[in-house]
Amino acid sequence: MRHKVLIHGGTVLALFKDGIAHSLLERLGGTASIRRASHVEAPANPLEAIEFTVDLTPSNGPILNGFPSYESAVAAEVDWLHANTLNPNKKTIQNTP
Amino acid sequence: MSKIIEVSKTVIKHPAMLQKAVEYLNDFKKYGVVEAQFTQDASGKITGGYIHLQTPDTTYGRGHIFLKFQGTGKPEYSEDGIIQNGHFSLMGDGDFQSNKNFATLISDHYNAQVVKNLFESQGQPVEFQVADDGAITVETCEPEGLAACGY
Repeated sequence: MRHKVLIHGGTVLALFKDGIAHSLLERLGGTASIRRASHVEAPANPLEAIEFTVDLTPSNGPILNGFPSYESAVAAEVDWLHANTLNPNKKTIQNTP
Repeated sequence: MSKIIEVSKTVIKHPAMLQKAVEYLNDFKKYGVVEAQFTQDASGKITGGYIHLQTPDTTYGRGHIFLKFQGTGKPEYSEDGIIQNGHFSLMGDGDFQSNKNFATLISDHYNAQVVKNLFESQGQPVEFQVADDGAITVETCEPEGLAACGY
């Protein structure tokens, strides 16, 4: 699985991942904040249709529908976050005063 | 269900970090460090010196930047060794908006190198790129290696 870390403006930004988060803090110092980036929703009624939804609105993204498995939904979720939130051409990180 | 971790105010620590950061800057040809010299007191604290940095047009600034440490005064450090902004002065035709931008620039390069080392220490080769505006990305592909993710 792809893993990307964006560094800009005195800030280091990454998807939270066990091990990485602790190691980043340990090695970089500074302070950390963790925020929700997205949700993966299970099917409302699994007996009728198995379809997972990715809600990227916490990151100002879309809601993506129609994933047949949890794994495929998570993969799409991570791809979107890498391509947008962690994309240096689309970043919105500001220098903090 | 993903979360974003944001580590902020990760600025340069004294004294080896600053010198290391300048070495890392030298790794990037687009941020050519023309010359850098430091003086330290007996305790190892940086008391003076200068850096001549040539940058392209980025959010950090552009042109030839001459950074020197304030005359005779010792830089002050917070308890964890962080050099506080304001201990730098710019001279020459530097186009930085503030001293903080320079501290941010070398902090970013230092932090990027730390992240790169973190991945590599776990046996993960990395892609390490600097965008035109100075943003740095460090990417890896776990656990298969870069080729598996199409690098």
